Amino acid sequence: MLTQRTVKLIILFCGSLITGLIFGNLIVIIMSLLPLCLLAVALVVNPPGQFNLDTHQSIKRAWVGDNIEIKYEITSKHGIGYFTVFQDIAPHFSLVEGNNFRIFWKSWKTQTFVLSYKICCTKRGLYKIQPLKWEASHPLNLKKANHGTLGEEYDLTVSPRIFNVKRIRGIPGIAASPFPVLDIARLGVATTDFREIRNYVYGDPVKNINWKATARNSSPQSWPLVNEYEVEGKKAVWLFLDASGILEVGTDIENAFEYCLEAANSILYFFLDRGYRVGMYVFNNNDQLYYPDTGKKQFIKISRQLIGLKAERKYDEFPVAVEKCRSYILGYNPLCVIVTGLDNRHGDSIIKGTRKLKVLRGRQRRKLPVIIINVAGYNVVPTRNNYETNIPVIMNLNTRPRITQLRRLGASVLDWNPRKVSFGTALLSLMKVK
Amino acid sequence: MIFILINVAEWALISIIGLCGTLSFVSSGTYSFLSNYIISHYPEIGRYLIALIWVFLAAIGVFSVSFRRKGGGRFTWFALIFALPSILAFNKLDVPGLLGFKVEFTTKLEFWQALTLSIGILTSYLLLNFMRELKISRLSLIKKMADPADIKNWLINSHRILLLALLCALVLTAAISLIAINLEAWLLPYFHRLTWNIILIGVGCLLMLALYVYWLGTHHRFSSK
Repeated sequence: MLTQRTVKLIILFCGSLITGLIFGNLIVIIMSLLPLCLLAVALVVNPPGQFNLDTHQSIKRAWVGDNIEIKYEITSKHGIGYFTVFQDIAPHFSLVEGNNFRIFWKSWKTQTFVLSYKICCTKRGLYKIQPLKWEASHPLNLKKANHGTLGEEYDLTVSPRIFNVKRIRGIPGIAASPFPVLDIARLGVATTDFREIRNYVYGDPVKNINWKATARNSSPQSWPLVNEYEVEGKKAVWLFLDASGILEVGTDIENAFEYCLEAANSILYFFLDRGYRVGMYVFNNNDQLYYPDTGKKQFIKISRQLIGLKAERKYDEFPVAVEKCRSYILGYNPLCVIVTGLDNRHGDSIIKGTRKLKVLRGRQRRKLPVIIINVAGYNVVPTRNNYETNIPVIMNLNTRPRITQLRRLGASVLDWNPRKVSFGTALLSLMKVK
Repeated sequence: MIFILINVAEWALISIIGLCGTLSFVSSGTYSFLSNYIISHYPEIGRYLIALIWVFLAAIGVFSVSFRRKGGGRFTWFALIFALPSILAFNKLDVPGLLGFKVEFTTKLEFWQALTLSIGILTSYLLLNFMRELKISRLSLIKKMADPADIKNWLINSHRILLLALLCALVLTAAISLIAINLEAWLLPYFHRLTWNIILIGVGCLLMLALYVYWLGTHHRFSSK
């Protein structure tokens, strides 16, 4: 097919020729030959074609924050000219290195071109990676450009990050917080599952001392080292996740809701990895309940749902959520972890719900086994001026009475600022022993 | 660097078109009439008239192509109007005379000189237009966030192939025009020796051979597809 430019050259040729013939002017007739000869010379050449995709790296699974390299090798055997290759990427991916749009010049011989770029997965979700689009043009644009695609569409699953909370180690003692890992297992029978090596403390059985490791220890003054094993009969953990739209404070990529999801995912991984029975209830979002279960299967099941979870315009359903999970709370007597944001006007519903949880636990002197993870939304909002820098401070002051009230009820409140500390470090602040 | 070179080349082409138009114009009878009038009335201007015409044409070109970012089309037609009296001096048919007008064009230029100037105008016009299209394509590629190195490479290669194609076209045009002009002188002595039926059969066979070669080419193209 011919382009507008080709038609213009043909018109120029015809116009000059006719004028030359009318006037019997040889100069004009010869002038008319120039566009014709240019067309004849240029139209012999074809735009690049016969594309082959030689190698193709496709990563199907990634975590939020991961950098993925996408690489294609394209061979063209035919034609001369330039061609562009382009791959559509979802707006939630940021280009870290290279370019997903390239222009290649193809000479007369067979050539191989490499399209390689790195993208950063900024948001969880199930994405479709589109096939590579190409457009080959004639070197002088005298023929219509050819279009096409190379490769096939494939899915890329971006899972929420799992923060590194593996470093939280058990410290023998009476836990100030009801964190199950720190609880002294009075009734639990030690299994053969090795957990870690630690320093000997008074009361440890002598048979647990690892003599070889102690001998290898360079310092003669040091204490003997003891093998610690996992104990049977672990506690259940019940996770309440707030999926309210009010948590979407910040950008589409970085907001409190996304951090809540990442925190929930990390908690899930942490407890399920250690053999706990974990159940979950997503409140303010069409009541999604996941029965308590153990193992990797449970993690994959819940994590897959978290990938596609969207915030809803519902706000104060936590007391209702507690009511709905009543049977599980009474049956399993779990540690309740509530992942939410308290710095909004609906934070009071968390207090109401916690009060209900306290009622369900009955009269007990011990600390209420409830951990509230407060993801302060205004900490993740980018600030534009000095006034906006002070917003988190004001919001924090506003939240403080609510946190005090929750602590008075016996709950442990973890105030997490994702911009300042990692989730693992924030969790460490809960690990206090009396 | 490459972009500066392209701009310089653009200005050079504008100057060439202006120069070709001026040279054609100053060789024509129209200029003689005009210059006589100007020299008699404004003798100071008359001394620099040729340079002034050139500067005037080039200034229009620079304003139209570089500042208004229009194609070289309008400017070239303007320059061609200046060259027209010299070109029309080589008319073999008196079309204005047939229509009842009495117009006579004269020029001091030889046929080859007038042809070279006209071809110069047309070649520069084609180059200017293609360069403008490349400029537009470059802007669209920048909008699409293409790599600057890729754009540079594409631009260099595109200009290279454009120059090559135009050079080939010029050579081909020169060859065809040389053959066309001298064909009569070369062939007539041979044709005089042959009878008319041999010429007729020969031309017919030549046409059939050309058609056969064309058919072979088309057939090969379809079968390869």
